[in-house]
Amino acid sequence: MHPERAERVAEIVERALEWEADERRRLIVKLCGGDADLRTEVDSLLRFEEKARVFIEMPALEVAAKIIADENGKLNPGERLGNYKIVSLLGEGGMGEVYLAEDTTLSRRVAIRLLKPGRGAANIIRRFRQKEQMLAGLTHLNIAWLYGAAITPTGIPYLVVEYVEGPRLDHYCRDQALSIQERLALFRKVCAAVAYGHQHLILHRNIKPANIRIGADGEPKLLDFGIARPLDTATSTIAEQTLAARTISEYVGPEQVRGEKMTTASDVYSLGVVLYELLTQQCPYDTTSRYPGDVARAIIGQEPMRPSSAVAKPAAEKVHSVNGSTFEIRNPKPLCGDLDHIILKALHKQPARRYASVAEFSEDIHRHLVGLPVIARSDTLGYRSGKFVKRHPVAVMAAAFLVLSLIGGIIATARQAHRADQHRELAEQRFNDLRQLADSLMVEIRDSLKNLPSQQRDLATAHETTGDTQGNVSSTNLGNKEGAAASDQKAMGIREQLKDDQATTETQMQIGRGYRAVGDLLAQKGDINGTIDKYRSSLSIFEKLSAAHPGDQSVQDELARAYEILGDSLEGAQRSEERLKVYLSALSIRQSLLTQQPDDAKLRRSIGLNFLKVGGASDAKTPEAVENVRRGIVILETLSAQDPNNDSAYREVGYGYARLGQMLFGGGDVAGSLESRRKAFEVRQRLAARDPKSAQIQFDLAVAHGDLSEALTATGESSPALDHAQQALSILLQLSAADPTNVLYRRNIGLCYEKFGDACTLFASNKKQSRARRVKAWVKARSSYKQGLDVFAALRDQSKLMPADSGFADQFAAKVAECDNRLKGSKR
Amino acid sequence: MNAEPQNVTQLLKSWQLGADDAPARLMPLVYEELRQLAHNYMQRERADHRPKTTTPVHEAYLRMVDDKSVTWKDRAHFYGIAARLLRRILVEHGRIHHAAKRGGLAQKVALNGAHDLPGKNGAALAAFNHALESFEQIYPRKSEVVELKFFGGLNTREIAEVLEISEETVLRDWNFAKLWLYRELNGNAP
Repeated sequence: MHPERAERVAEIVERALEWEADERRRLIVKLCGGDADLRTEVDSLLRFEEKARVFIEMPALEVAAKIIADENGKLNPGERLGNYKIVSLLGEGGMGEVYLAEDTTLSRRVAIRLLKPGRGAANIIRRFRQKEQMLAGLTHLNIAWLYGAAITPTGIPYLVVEYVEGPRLDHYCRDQALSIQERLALFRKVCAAVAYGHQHLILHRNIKPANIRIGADGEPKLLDFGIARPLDTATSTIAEQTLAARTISEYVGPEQVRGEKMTTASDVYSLGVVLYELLTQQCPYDTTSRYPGDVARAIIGQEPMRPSSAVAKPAAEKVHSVNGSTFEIRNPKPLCGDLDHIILKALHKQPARRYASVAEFSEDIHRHLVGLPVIARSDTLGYRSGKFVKRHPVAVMAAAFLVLSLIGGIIATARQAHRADQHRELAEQRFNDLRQLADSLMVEIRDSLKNLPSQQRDLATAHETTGDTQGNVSSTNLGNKEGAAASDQKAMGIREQLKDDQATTETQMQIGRGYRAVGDLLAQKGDINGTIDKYRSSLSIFEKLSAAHPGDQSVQDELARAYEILGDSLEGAQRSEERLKVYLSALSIRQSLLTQQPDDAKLRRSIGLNFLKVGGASDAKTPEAVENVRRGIVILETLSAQDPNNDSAYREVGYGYARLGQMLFGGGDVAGSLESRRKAFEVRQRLAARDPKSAQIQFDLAVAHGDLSEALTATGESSPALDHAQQALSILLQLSAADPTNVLYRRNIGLCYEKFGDACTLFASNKKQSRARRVKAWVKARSSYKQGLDVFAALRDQSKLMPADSGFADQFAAKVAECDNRLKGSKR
Repeated sequence: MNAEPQNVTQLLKSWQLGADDAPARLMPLVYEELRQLAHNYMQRERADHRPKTTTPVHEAYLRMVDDKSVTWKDRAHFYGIAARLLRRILVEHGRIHHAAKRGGLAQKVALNGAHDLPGKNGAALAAFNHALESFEQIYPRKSEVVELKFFGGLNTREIAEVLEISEETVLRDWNFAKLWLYRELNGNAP
């Protein structure tokens, strides 16, 4: 190009850049005159204005440094990470690479997902720790199992998850040429998985076909539950743009695009897009651009095409056909009506107008499949919920009040948990989730009641309560327990008026689970009576449900669980008679369920554990008690043998033997106890070798050491007893140093000091030893008892002592005194 | 950090005077800065949008090339030399890296502030360097602006001083260069 012409191009482009749209066009026309080539050149540069915005804005030095940082964070095939050997790179997710790895101790394949630091790395690691436990609790056939989490030597956190080898949901449907019915059935399984997560108050946040894999058994598996990072809203424009570029996919809802709070409705939306694409092979929005800004605009501003119209469009017109699929559903007829309505309801721009829950979404698809009228069919305001409210006015209101009262309880607990930061965070998280639920419920009620003047007064009351609760949130008086209790009472009063058949089963199930969630929360902060209270409330709801629906397996399952956790909570309160009773109730429900589902491994596992608990709650001296525990162990051992790679199944075997050892010891069978405690110890040693970083396993191992020490002392073997007690202490002290607020660790440290002291006492009482060594042993015993005493005294002073442990301080003090006596005697 | 400014300056000056081994001797100093910066990324929380004067990158540049002892007359030349040298080292570094690691630099570097904007599989430092060479043939001054800013880490005011042009001109040059280079690297992509 001639230099003068090049200068001319630059001049025109530079001047054009100073103007927008129309002005710019006019200017270019004017400056280019009739020179078409010049115009083409100018235009070909200007069209990159948007895309080049952030181009080379980062200095080269920084770019190079970032590459090095990225490379450092990479793992190479063959590299080892704890027990895992990297096999290959599976892909790069939004947060970092995902690798296929081999678990060398369990010889199974796992996926390792790195969570790269960057924005808010410190926060992520903290949240990640906290999430680890929540996510590990998600055990569902259709959710990829989270095995564990750790941090690489270079400081990058990673998750170890089940490796699911199989095609993506959409590819699978396409390649298998599945019918609409088959696709819907598969999709409903995905919904069940998401709903399960929601019941555990975890949002998925990143549902898309690439995160849904079909296993060899044909079951869909949902990956990455709850791992996606929420959008960070406090960012500058440029950062926002780059962030947006990274996160906006066609599967996120408008609220997420805007960086607003995500709720369960956001997952409903993403599921809606997935279903849309499964049935139409197209994106819901008519956008040719894949550029994030355009996608975001479409999600916020465009109404999705009706699925049936999208399918009916001639192929040539299809602007964005998903994955260039060859198999297509071309007939619009099956989509017309129900499915159009169902999908569009899930895709509603306003979260509150979508399905209230994933379960409801899935249920509506089910209704369509079996030919029942679908809820979404009449999305006109008030039709659906209005009809529902007409039928069950009190039920809906009570549900709303209950949610609000639960929130009150949670706020109260959150305030009280201020000493333990992690609990507070958890509480706040749950509080937020519940508040969302309450909000959407209230919106629904308000909408549906607009046409029902007679209920305006109730509505006003409902709003008042909402106002109260929300007002409280910002005031310092937030944790006011009386207030929470009052609202609880009010809600309970209304619930009392309910006849069982007035609330839908699902609503009641939710309420029952809500109480349980609050109970869990209270248990974590050590409020035993509060826990028992909430668990009882949960139980009574499931009892009524069970009476109304004796044949409903999911109700029976929940009922058994409600009995069981109530029993667990009663342990701390020393109510052993009632404990045994509720454990037996749980067991008998499960045994009858087993006759209907004899191959259900999960159920068998529950029964195995249930036997252990029944045994544990009975009088240890009775042969039946021991027999029950042994039966439990047999069941758990069988399950573990059938699934040898399943660490948690194996762990339960260890738990069984530990329990048996405990009972035999209590019943005076010291030799039998020693034998089972050795078995428990073996199991835990093996588990610890497989996963040396797991705090849970280390804790179990420490307990096993302590138990062994106790049994060895009882059989008169002082030196191995000393050795095991010492090891138990050393593990526990390490654990406690890492997690100083953990009461369980501290309590066990106290107990292990006693065991160490007992082993010393045994040694000191051995007349064969030299006098000097015996005196030394008494000194050691005394100091150990004293340390145990200090632990329990401190727990007592902090009101963290379980009632069952209240005797320990005195018991230890007596032992200290005994040592002093002996020492005095020996001086003489 | 052992790289004393004085040494860097001496090296730059000797390069200017024809000492061919200056780049090789400077490389370790630049690498040390790179390593340090990379470490920052691994360890620290990073805000994407900070005032440019306080970024670790800027500090790194200052440590390497800021030198009060250079007289004003020599400054423009000095910065020009420094930026050119950094360009050479960084491009060279990228090439070595690419050769050493499968799919290293060329595939990974998007020269965008973001990782994921168009160009993820596009521009590498080396490819960018190549484009800049073409640009240089047509727009010598504009390419100097790019070199000083992108490779040399200078801000608009500094570039204006060094090149003795107005800040507005620097910005206009920069904006145009971005479009041109982007087009060059992304070809006919829509």
